[in-house]
Formats: sequence, C-alpha cells, structure tokens
Amino acid sequence: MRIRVRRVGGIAGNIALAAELDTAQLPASDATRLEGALEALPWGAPAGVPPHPDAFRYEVDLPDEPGRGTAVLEESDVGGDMDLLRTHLQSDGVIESRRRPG
Amino acid sequence: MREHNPLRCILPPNVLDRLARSDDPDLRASALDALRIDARFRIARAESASRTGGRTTAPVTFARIGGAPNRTIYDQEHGSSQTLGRVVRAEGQPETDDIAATEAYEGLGRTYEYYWSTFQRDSIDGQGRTLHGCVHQGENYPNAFWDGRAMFFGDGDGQMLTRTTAGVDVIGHELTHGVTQYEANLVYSGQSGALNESVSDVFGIQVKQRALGQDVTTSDWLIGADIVGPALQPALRSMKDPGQANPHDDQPATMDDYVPGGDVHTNSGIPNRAFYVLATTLGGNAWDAAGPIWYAALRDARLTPTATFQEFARLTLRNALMIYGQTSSEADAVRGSWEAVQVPL
Ligand SMILES: [Zn+2]
Repeated sequence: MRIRVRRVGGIAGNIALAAELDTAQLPASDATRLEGALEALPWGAPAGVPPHPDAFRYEVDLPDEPGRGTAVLEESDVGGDMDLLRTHLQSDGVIESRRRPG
Repeated sequence: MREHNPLRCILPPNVLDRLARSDDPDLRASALDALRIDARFRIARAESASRTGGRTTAPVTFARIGGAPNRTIYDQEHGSSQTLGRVVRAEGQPETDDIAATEAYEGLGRTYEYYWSTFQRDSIDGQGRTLHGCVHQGENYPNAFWDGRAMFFGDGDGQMLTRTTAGVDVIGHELTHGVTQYEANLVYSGQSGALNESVSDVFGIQVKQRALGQDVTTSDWLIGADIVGPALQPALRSMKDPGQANPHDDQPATMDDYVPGGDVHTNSGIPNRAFYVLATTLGGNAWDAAGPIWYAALRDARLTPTATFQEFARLTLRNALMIYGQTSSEADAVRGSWEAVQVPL
C-alpha cells in the first residue's frame, strides 16, 4: 500500500515537508500495524482548527485509493502505530516547493 | 525616596492584621501600609479573574508592581508530552550549562522587557503571569509552539531548523501568541489566523530589534534567521520581502497574490509587509509609533476573533487617528502601508 504524508504547520508553516512510503518495503509486522492504523483514520473529514498556534498537522493520502480523500491528523494522533509515518517523514521527507514563479 | 517596607512582600494577611494592632507605632504603621497594598492587589486579581473570554479590559498593573518577569524553565528531556517537565531554572536562579535553558530564560526576559517597557504590559496576560518555557521538546523536534499555557522549544532536525531557543524573535513570536490569546483571541484559520501569525511576527521582530539595539533601517526584518538549518537559509520569513526568505518560501507580499486556503503562515506575509512599510516610513525604532498602533488595534474591543485583513487594517487607522491626530504623518503612513499591500481601507 502506498501512502503519501505531508507535514504542514509549525512555526515554519509556510514550508511543507512531504514523503511517500510503500508498506511493501516495511517488515511484515510494521506493515500490518500501519495498514491497520490507517483504516481507522478520519478519511475525507474536514480539518478543524489546530489545537494551538504553530502546531504541526499531518495530511495522509493513499495514491491508489483516491476516493478515500485525505485524512488530516494532529500531532497527538501521530503516535502509536502511526509513528512510523512521522519517523519516515522526518528521515526521508522532501521540502515541497510551493513558491510562485517570479 | 520611600523606604522599602519588607512587610509588603513576605507576611500573610492574618499576620499583618495582628501586627496592625501592635503597640509599636512603627510596626503598626508598616503593617497598615502593607495591608493597603495587599488589598489593592487582591482587588485587581479578583477583577481580572472575574472577566471571561480572551480579552481583558486593560492590563491591571500598579506602578509599584510589575516590571520584572517571573520565569520558569523546564527540561522536557526529549519527551513529546506537553506536561511541564523537570524544573531546571526558576526566576532569579543562576544559569546552568544547558544553552537551550539559558536562551529560553533570556528570551522570555527580553520579551517581557519589550512588553513592559513599551506598553507597561505585565506579562502576556497583563497580570504578571508566570512564563513557562519548556526546552528539549521531542526528539530532534523541528518546531516551537505556544500551547495556551507554556512555550515549547524543540532542538531542531538540523536540516530545516536548529535549536529553536536561539531565536529571540522566535521566543517573542511564541509569547505573542499568548498575548493575542488574552486580547482579540484571533481564530487560527483563514485571514484571522494569518493575522494571528502576523501579529506574532510583528512583535517578535520588535523584541529582536530592541534586544539587539536595531532601528528600522539596521534590522534585517527576517524571522527565524537564527534557527534555520541549511535547507531554509537564510530565514523562515522576510517581513520586508515576503516570499523571498528562502528557496521554498511561498508568502505573498500583496493581496494580488493572496493564497485562498493557504496556511496561516503563508498569507501572514501581507500584514507583515504592511507593518514593515509603516515602520520604515515612520523611521526610528519600530516600537516608537508603528508598534503602539498595531498594539492598540490588537487590544481594540472592535477587533473580533474572526477579523479579516481589512477589518484589522481599519482598526490600525482608527487607532492611529485617535493617538496621533487626524492630520498626523502617522495616520498617513498607516494608509500608505495598507495601500502598499492592496488591502483597501
Ligand atoms: Zn506562530
């Protein structure tokens, strides 16, 4: 299962960090845990107001299942089995260039 | 000069009551004096506590109290919990060999000093609230934030951000989120969220300018220059040139480039630049006139939590007219600053 995750917000909130992860590349036990955790995410639910200023927020998409929409998670949601996503983003994430031309 | 009365500081009211009935006339006078001060202080606290919502009607301060911060620094020991960690330095204690703790303590002090000296505001709530700074939050955590109660500082990931306590503007930024919480309590999304962010940058840069003795011409007007890693050099944001702070900066400088649905740190570039234009038009120190105009707008009861850029802009003009007069150069400069970023008044 391919998973895309973007980290937005934080004091550097005008810069987003993004990464893609394929659970096929993970040890089987990690893949099972992560895929199970993904099922419980609030897919397609509108994002609320962040819990406090400069909070990080994580946007999760499944590129092969676009009909699910995006799940928006607060920092407190990215623990437990979902922590794999956060650590992958931290190690392999790429800064998205959203800067306008000119 | 009046003599310091030690009874004011150290004795509980029941003891003061007893001393006020003493046969010793000096002791009785001192105790009565201390009780008067104590009563005023308690009334002020009660008034403050009875208020509801984010805004206070006015910071309740006395000439004889306030003016000194009360800081506590905690070591989060790399945990991700937002529970206050181990106390490593309380107010008045000597510095430790932990540079993050020292920087947080100093930065909180610089921010307190800015608000006290410029506006006689006694801490973020105007009531002398203790400033809690929590260092070493998380593992290589590339962020700093205010959670409504305390400031948390990560050590950075070494790529995007480094030790976040190193930026006095960042500390000023985070504390100002606390000030905003106690004032307009701007909702953290859309234009009100971008205003919330901008207000934090506006006062964060002034804290830095004041700490470094910079006027509007010697300031670099950069936010986060001291905390960015190699990926975001030279800074997080530029108030002078929004969108040009680093290779990934997407901030707009005018309403022409406003980003619908953009992050609050993105569209904050527009009011940030308006403040820069105002401050540099007026010259001198940013806190001479530009800062007080922005502060008056933030504290204006007409500023609602869901305010738009235009609503905030109009309040800056109204306050400039009120403070400096109808034909003042300050009011003209406010008009010019919002015109420069295409926010109609
Ligand atoms: Zn902020």
